[in-house]
Amino acid sequence: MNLRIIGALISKDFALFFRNRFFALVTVLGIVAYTIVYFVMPSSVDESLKIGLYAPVMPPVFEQLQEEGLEIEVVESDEALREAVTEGQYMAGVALPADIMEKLLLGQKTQITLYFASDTPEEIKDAVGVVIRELAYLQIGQPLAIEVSEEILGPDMIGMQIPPRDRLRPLFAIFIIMTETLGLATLISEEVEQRTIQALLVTPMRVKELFAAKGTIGVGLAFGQAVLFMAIVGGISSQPLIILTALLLGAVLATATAFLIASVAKDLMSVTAWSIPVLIILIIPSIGILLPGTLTGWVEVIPSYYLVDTVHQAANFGAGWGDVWRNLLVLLGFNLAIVWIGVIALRRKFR
Amino acid sequence: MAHDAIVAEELAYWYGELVAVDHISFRVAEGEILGFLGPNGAGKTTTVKMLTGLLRPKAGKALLLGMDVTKNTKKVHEKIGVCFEDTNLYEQLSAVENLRLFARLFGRSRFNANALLKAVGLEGREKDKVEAYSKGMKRRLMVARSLVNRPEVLFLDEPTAGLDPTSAESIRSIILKVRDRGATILLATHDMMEADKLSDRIAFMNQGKIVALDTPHNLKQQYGKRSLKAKVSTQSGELEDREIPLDTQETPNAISELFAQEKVVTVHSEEASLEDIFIRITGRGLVE
Amino acid sequence: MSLKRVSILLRRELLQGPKKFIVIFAIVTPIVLSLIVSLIFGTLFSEKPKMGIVDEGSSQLVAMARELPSVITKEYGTVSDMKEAVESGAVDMGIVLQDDFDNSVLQGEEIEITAYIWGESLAKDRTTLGVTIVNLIRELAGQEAPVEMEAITLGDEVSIPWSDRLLPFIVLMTVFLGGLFVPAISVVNEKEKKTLEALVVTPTTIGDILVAKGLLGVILSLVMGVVILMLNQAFGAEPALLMLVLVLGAIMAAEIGLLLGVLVNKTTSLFAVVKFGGLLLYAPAFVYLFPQIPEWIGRIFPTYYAIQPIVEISLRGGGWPDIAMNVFILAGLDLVLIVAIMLALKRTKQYAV
Repeated sequence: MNLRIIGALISKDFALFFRNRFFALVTVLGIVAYTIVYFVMPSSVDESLKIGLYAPVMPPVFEQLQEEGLEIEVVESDEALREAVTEGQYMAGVALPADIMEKLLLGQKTQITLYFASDTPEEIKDAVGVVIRELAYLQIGQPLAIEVSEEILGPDMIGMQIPPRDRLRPLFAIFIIMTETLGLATLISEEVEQRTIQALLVTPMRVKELFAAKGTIGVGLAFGQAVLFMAIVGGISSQPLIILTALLLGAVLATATAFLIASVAKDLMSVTAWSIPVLIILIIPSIGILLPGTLTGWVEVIPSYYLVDTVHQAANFGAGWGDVWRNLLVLLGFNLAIVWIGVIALRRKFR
Repeated sequence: MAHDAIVAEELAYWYGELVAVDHISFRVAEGEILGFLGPNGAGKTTTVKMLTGLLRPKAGKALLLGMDVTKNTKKVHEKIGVCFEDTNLYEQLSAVENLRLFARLFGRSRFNANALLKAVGLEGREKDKVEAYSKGMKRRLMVARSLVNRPEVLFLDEPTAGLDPTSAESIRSIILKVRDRGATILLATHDMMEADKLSDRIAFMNQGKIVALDTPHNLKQQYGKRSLKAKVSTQSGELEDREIPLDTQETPNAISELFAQEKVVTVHSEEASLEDIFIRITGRGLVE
Repeated sequence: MSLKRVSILLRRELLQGPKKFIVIFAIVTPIVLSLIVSLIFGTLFSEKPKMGIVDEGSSQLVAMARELPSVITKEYGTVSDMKEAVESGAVDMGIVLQDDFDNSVLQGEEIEITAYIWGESLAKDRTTLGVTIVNLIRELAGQEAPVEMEAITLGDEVSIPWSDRLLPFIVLMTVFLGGLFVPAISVVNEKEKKTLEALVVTPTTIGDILVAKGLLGVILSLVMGVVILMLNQAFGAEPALLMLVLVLGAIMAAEIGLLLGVLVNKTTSLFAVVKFGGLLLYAPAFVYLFPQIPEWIGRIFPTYYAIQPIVEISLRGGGWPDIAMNVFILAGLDLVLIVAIMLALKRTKQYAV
């Protein structure tokens, strides 16, 4: 392979890519937009139900309550409680009547007032009601002969929950990488559409050098942008080598996919027509990260699953090589297969 | 003795049922310009593609500078230049960038793009993007690109198609300069005037076959008919045409009668054009 | 301008339209994305904890749990299935009800329950589910709650479910995907292929051509807008008003598309502009997605005046007095865009209007 020729082709494609100022600007703006969305989203997860409590007479059970997921703060007055709830300081306010202990001891029903802000979801209202009811049961000492043992499945993330924006990181990274599929497939199909490929084919350039150049530019752009984004949003701080390896393999996947699309597409419109369903399929595994449990085993036939899962595990759970080597191996296998098919298909088209 | 730069032996190509090139054979000596003359669809472009390695012949063999095109495609490509029928430049790049790209592909490290652009009349527009060029300018750039590697064999497919006379003439002079420095040129065209002016020999191509191959002079001699054309004035004062074939036994008497019986206004002799010869041979015109 | 020529051109656009990828794209994408976006955002930000149950007997607890509005309950056939669901996060907590569970509860027998908890479940969800399960068992055991609850809502704002918050985004996307993209691509394509030149050297004016393409965009936009509102059951009580707003919005979309078509010469550039410009188009929808963003920010963007009346009618039950001002502004913007297109034609020196 002639490096001089490959270098000439890469320089040309690089110039063409950025020569279209709109295209170049939007590529940059895309990264900027994703970054802004990332930083606008909340950086932490509120794990607790924050409840304000006003109790002229404090029942012992309420006073001694220590439960993960429940924060009860005592407020001086009913007025203060209502104000705090309206301002959003608490998800709910509980106002106990002054005679609660008397009534409970006498076995009489007592009425508890719950305050909610107008935009509180219904499920929160129900949850608070259930909690208060249970506290009341405990206060009157009504026994329940059940023994509950807990078994945590998977790493226990209490106090270390992954914020939604960090769950979105693999999705954004894969979006950036896969969008380059469209860009590269367009570059290739334009060469065929404008017949510049013929001009190249009657020079000392060999087809494999053309593929090498297109592949380099495709992988380079996709990888570069994804790394830049992940670096900005702190996605590389945990297990950087694993993440970089996964992103690199992802960039190869995008490039190979671009070859395949370019081999069947005739012009920019058909590149877009083919690219969008392919992109949607490749993005599906990211939904499994956003919505755990929504996707079952079938998603593992999609090559990007191994990219997304690796990035998610490494970036959000600090997974090591021992945890992700299988993913990377499968991803590599997919890449080799798709590259091979893409090159053969494209070679046929160039003939 | 000049060696053959291009050798085609029983070259054939078909697209499905359609035979585009039907077992043609010819040779082009070094330093010669061979014109391929024929209407659209005759098989000229397909022949050029086979000779330049873009198409693998379905039958036959093509040799360029002694090398089998199919087996030594890339070595052949180092020595040839191709100016395609369709413009296929990188429109978003400038003329200089287009030429420098190809220079790098050919390994020409010290390449003076500006000099070549000046030679084709594009000085002053080197840095403009090609998309802003006129049709004539793009064709000139196409020719320039085909000369980047100082090719030993140059393929020109309809180099002046659709151009104004000035642009066309400037390209023809470039072609002659290239020939003068020793390159072999295969010129595919349906412009008979261009073929007549530039070619050392002409191959008439029709429906995939070479139907005649000789120098323009010999073709005219063999197939053409000279005639005497005259304009005579009638009694009513109108002008009418008269034509007397030369080179027949009746010619002297016919000419005497013409001058004796008619009022001759103008008279001149005329050779058959290549188009006339082509029609005579194939029964169809060069442009349909 | 000739209506006859416009109708001839429009007929051609309508006949060729369904064969064009972009038209199919503009029809299918809003429907598909409507479903996907609802799924993602609706579930991602849903606050309901999810509980899995394996019932080895026939406990009433399962039915009681299903009736709870604050918890999502899923039943599994085997413990391993349920553990798999817990491990994948499909449910936050899973419990196994042994055979004859109900009887054991009624008899006051000692019962052991293992709760399998997803490691990534939130603390509040674990607490809520734990307490809920205990409450249900108490109910099963016939224990009477010692307290009654009175819920009082404070403040004026209405709680907006996520499916409603997403509606403006989906409607905007629908109206502008077809209304903007189709005319824009159509014009640029004709410029690239030079068929536009062939048209304007006939009695057809550039105005005829742009109106025909714009009309196609308006029709597509309007039809899809109606379809999406119907799919989301968001037509509201004032359908005629809604249609008026949709028409004006569709016109705005088509006009922006035509403006882009006049200004941009290549399809690649058009894609790039739309990719970026999409952020500006859809920005007002974020005001509804995240109510903490002040509404005045949305007013900066022209599409706000299309989407606000739709939201007012569909979701808030508003009427003409609530939307009149914004509708007038929308109509005004439509007129301004016509002028902008004419100026753009003059500026780019393309074809006399």
